[in-house]
Amino acid sequence: MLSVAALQFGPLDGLLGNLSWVTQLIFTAFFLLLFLGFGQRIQMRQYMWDIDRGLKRLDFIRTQAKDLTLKTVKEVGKPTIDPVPQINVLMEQFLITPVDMDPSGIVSKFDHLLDVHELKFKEDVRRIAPAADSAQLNNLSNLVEASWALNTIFRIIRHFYLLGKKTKSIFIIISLQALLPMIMQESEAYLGAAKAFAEGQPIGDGIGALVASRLMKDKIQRKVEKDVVVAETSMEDRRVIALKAEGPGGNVGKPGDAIRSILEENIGKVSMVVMVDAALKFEGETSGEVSEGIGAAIGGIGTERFKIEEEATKQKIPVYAVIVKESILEAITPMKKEILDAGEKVIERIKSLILERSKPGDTVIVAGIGNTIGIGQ
Amino acid sequence: MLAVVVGFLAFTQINSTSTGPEMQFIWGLVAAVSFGFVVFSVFRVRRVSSMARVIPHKVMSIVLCPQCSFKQIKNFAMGDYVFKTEGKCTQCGVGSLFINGIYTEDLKRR
Repeated sequence: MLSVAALQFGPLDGLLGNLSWVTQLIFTAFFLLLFLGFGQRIQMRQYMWDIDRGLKRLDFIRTQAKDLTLKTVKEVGKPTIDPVPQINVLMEQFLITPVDMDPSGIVSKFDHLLDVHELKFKEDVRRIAPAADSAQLNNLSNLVEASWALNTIFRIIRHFYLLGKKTKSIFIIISLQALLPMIMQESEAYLGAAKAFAEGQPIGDGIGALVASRLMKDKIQRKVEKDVVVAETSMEDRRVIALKAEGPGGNVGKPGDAIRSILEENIGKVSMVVMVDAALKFEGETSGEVSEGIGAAIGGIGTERFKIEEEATKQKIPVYAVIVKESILEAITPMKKEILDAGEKVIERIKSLILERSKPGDTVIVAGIGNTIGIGQ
Repeated sequence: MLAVVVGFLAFTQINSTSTGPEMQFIWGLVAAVSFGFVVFSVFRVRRVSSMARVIPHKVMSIVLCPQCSFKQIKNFAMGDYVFKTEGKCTQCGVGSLFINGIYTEDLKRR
């Protein structure tokens, strides 16, 4: 092993040669102090660099989404005034959730709040895009929502980063650094979603709506509850009532209200409800894989699921779920071929479910859940 | 920055005539590590900036004729949607063409 004295440091050679053991001691003490005393600080500084870089990327992503929103609003909506101030106001919008100390009746409170939020949001978007038709307006609303989501993610991450920096709390910094890869992935997915919304392309989440639209094609359709269309068809000698959100604009409708009203129209006649939706896959699973289960397959805050569960329980109707597995990225970016192809498999699965679980002449509700952007009926 | 300074120092030591082969090896090692660190840092910065781009998707529309076997896969155009009618079939001239599906090609990148 080489001693420090053997090293050559140019003009310092003589000094180091004479003071070899002193320099050895100083180096040892320096390294001990550096790694034991300041090890955590150094690590924290590294994490903070990572977060800082991530934050810069998030800022870049949200700016891109905002620019895309602005460009699309100008192209489609033909605003008469500069839409930037109004878009900035929309970017900062928030929703105060109801008090849950007394949870009784909270679902209807939530439902009311969401209705008001949606109505106001759409009206605000209409104001900045007066020339947009209803489908374009829905797409623009979705686009502004994607930009809003990116802006909110950025603000939250920046808040915790600055808080961690200010308080020098390693726990805040470590938590943030650990979550950062998932947050980045989700942000990139939202950016992809913004692009799909700007062009009106179907997204992975729309597979449920796509299946329902295939069932109701060329059938007489009617509008039921808010933004939901229904058509009757037959399958394996059963009467099938198919429903989906009204497309091709970006819309999820209120399938909970629609299913409830159909069940109330057909009291004692409906033998089963089949819900088709996209579901998040676990890592390692194949996208486009079809799976079936029991229960109301519908995401969101839970108000729509509550309505379906309540009405189905009241009338003792079984609810079955057929899901198509996909990742969060695939769910909100343009529909992949594997997911599109899964639509036919889902229809086959519905047929076998109907054959197994109902009798000829029965009425079955098939609800296609999800965002119907780019999917007509 | 430190890596660049150390690397520079190492290169001057290697080129120096007063440095023996043993020391040249050590300084060479220092220079290699410093260079590696600089390259790694630059690569990380590049990767960070390249990840924040809008991923260009190739989106396709499948056009079908319900009467004959005509099927066409075309690039997605703004305003396309599933079940949009696309005029009369160019093959049989009877059926109305419609968009049966819209999909994107593989999202894989990097």
